[in-house]
Amino acid sequence: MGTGLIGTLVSLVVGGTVAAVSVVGVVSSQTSAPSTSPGDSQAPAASVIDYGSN
Amino acid sequence: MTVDPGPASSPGAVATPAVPRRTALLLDALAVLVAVVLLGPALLPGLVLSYDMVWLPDLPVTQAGWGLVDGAPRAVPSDQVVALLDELVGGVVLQKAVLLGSLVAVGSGAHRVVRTAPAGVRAAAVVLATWNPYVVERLLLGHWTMLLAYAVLPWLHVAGRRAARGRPLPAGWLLLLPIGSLSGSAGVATALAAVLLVGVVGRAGPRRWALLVAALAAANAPWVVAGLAAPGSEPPTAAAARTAAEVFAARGPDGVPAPVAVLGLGGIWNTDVVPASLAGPWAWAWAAAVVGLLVVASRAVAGGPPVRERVAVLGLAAAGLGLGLLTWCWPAASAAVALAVPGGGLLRDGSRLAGLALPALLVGAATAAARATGATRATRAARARGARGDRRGVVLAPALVWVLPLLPVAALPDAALGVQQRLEAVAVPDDLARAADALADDDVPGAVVVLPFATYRAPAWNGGRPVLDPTPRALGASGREVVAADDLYVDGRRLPGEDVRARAVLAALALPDADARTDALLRLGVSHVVVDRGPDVADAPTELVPGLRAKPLLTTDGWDVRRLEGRAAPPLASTGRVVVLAGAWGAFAVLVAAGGLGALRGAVVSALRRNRRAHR
Repeated sequence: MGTGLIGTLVSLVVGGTVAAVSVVGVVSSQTSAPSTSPGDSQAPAASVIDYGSN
Repeated sequence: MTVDPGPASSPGAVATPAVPRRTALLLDALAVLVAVVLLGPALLPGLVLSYDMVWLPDLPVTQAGWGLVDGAPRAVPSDQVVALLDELVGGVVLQKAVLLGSLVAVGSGAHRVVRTAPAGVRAAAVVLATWNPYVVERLLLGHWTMLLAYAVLPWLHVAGRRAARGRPLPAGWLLLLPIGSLSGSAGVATALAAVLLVGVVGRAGPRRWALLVAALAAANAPWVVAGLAAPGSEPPTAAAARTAAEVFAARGPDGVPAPVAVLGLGGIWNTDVVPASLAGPWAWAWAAAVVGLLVVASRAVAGGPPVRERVAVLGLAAAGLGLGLLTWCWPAASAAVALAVPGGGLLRDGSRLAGLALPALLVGAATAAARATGATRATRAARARGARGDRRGVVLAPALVWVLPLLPVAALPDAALGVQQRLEAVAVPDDLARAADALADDDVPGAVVVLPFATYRAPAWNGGRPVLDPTPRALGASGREVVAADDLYVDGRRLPGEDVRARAVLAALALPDADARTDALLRLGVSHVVVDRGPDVADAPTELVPGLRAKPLLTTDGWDVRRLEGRAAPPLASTGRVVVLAGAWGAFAVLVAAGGLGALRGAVVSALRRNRRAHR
């Protein structure tokens, strides 16, 4: 009984925390500027488009 | 002492309790949901063009698509398969089907690998297989053929387990091999996986090994033969191979060591496609989770996978993750392989095969679930006897299991909605098709060169996102050979391509005056040029888009089509090459047909069985 209650409480706390972190993370990542913006078509173009960068 | 329970007691074995069909369907629905949330705007009308992912509304069937190319056959057989299939459903629908289908397939297969685990663990397997650094980075870099190879992994695993229990391989399993081998790297990954998951896990006998080897040879024949038969492919110099090995070696974003990134299923060479969340502590969390699951996968447990299976999946993970670590710590080795072995350059992108760790991660999850289930049972039994019992059973309370599916999302939140809208569907301008029509309508024979003679673009109509220039593929609809640039630039460092004809064009364009340049191009068989007028290439160096003696045929907002003044040299015929390529494609087609017929037969038999059961 006691251990069952502890298990449930631990589940609720951990589950709630992970769910909150997930939701906050997804929402904030979608509402903030992307870390790497796509090229600005109005900006001066690079001489040759790079395949990527290290 | 641990006891190997043998295949009969492995997850998915006959002896294990049957899993309700409704649960499987719910988990399949979860796989769809996760894939839709991940792809987001990529599923809207239009095409997604990102780095190496170049799709068109109607990709033409071309000679280059068959493998009649001078450089490395990077898009063989993928381009031709797409060109043939988009005749049925169109490129837009086909691309959605491939992107969504590959992610749904891997999630759907993943929960079948851990089918005897608690539903929460199975749901976590779905999310982990779909929502992880490997999938996100490869999606952004446009490696959709690698995602298909990744998607067939759990299905090969399930097939191997079935064979291990003495049952026949699932109907249509052969179809997994060509689906997973639509490019060179994908073919290597699928071949490794098929050997270990179907051959070793499935305890193949001599006949099945022979069938497996023959099927893998057929699945990979188009790109292997095209590469070996390419007459105009020049091996890299030692310096170029070394530079490429350094550039494409696995690495981490700022602040994350490369081994950590690789062990976390990331480590892609192009840090532009690494989500921001992987540049911090979450990268370490991913690495810890992956290593933890691999360690658990190596441990025997009653009711867990047998030793043969564990060795096979850990071997596969070691190959995938080990390659990434090797390219990071010893780039000279991958440079040496690229120099010494034809096609060895496939292995220089160190983290490309990191997805091969998936079966081991799933086995780790299954093993952990079996261990926890055993502990819980022991606790209950002890309590029933009035004893205190093993408290480990309490730690993994049933409700806590439902937290597991959220963990990958919490650790990679910016993957949602097309990785922060970086995967977005766009409309490809109609002017490209008009340019191809103008070339087709002109009766002067010869090849086409696209200027500026550079490999990548960042078109305004694609939101400024970098992509391999789609113009050469679109112009293939004209029926003309298109000579495309194949030099790559990474951080401004030039990596020379292999196509000797492209190199000759580059040399011709560098000549000092328009007449000399035009005559040199004509001698190379070039009769037309198409000049890209997009703002992204407005500042391209003049040697990549120099003046030529040419007559305009068509001028649009995006592209100009011009015919060179003079007669282009006729192309060289190569009948022998056509014959060997026809043989390779024939083998590929036979494999697809055999797999397709097998899948169809299996579907019919299964439907008849269900029907019979329903009428009982």
